[in-house]
Amino acid sequence: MTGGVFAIAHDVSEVDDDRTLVEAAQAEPTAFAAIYHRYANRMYVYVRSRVSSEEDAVDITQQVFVKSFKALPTYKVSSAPLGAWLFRIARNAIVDHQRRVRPMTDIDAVPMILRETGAGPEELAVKSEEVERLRAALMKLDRKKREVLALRYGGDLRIREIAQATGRSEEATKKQLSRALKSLRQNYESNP
Amino acid sequence: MNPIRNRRSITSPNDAVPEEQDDLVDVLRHAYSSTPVPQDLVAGIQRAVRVSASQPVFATRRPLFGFPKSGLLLAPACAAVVLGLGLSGAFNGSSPKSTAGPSAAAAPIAWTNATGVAVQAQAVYVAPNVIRLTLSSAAPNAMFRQDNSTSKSMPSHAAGNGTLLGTIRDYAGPLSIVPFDYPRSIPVVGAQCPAVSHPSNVIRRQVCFRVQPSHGASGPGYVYLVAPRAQVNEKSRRAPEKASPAPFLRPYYGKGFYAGRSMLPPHRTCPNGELCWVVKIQPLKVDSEQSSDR
Repeated sequence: MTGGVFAIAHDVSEVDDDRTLVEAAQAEPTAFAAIYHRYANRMYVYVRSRVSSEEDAVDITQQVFVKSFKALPTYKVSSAPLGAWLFRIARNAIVDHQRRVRPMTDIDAVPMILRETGAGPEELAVKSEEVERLRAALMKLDRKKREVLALRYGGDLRIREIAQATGRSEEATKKQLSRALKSLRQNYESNP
Repeated sequence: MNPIRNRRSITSPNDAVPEEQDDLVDVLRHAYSSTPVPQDLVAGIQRAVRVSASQPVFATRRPLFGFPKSGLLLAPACAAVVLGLGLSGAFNGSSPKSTAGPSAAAAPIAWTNATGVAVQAQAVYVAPNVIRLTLSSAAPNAMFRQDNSTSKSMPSHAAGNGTLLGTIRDYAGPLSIVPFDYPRSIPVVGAQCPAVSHPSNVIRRQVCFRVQPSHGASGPGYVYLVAPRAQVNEKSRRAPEKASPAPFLRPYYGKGFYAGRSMLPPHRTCPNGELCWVVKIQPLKVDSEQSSDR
């Protein structure tokens, strides 16, 4: 973790970057590519954690960017950070998707590589028993807690962005993140 | 699969909670970041989002399908967004305004209708066996949108002459196209596309279809895609004999989507007892329903 003035400056710079990207894309649609490249992978990782197949995740990721592309002319950075706006679109797209297919309530918002027993240790470079415990601990969390973790670590969003993507206050989001992590640790400890 | 890129590495103290000091968070973070990202994710968007036929937003890495580039004619003045992962197409326009460029094989369908209005079409894969076609145009009052109601007064996309070619990817089962003549004549000719090698080394079947609008025809245009019964609801896991494509399709046509829906119950129009999907293309006014965040 890096703190201090630099980190705050980084935040400001990132907001400015997003603003620049948005303004460029609003003036010249071809500039949307830069927005896509900044967010596509993080978006995919988040979406992938919430749907059951790679194909669906790719489709939804695409939908998010096409929707945002079409809505971009009316979007204002001042109303919500770009990341929050994109992930809010993603959440809606996922809800729409889950209405159409059977929701994967048991593994929703669980990292893809932690979903199946026996998978993951190689990728994670940790002991398989730790992976199993983490998987079990995650599974015990309710869906909302898992989602805030997915937005935070899958979508790589800041707390402020999560708050705006989910329609909660920053303070409430912080508390929820804290509670989710505490519960995760408790579940982890209770399953040695 | 690509590793995760563009991840943030710096966290402000204001952007953290004390519990994130836990080592478990590192493992969790690593678990998410280890999610394999398909290499063709970017390619998919490259295919999907284009601003104009002459100036693509994203460069195309490879042709979508094996049709000769020389057969594709584009209308550069035509602006549209094309949504089409896994399925795209092209018109052989009757009124060529430009020749195909290097990336034209993946270009959206571009077509000039009989009134000289540049039109683009998008062919969207929405589910196994299901495609959605959309016609659009930068010209006012030339947008085409799916609608349940019958449009009697608007000009038709079919008032031109062209050939629509498209492919369906990621559908493993058989699929054929039937010529039809309902309710207005738009001949459809099926053609098998060559299998293509997917980046994941999976050979995926592609099925081509061709729609040849009748010259001077009016009214909505329809495209029928036909799959054998047994293949119909493999995704929805419903008994084939009870299956109706309608509920399978309906959710896809909400606000912001333009074209396509199941129009008829199974085996009312298709020969040999097969189920049909009907993708309806119907001209309406310029829509005011730009898809947006809710």
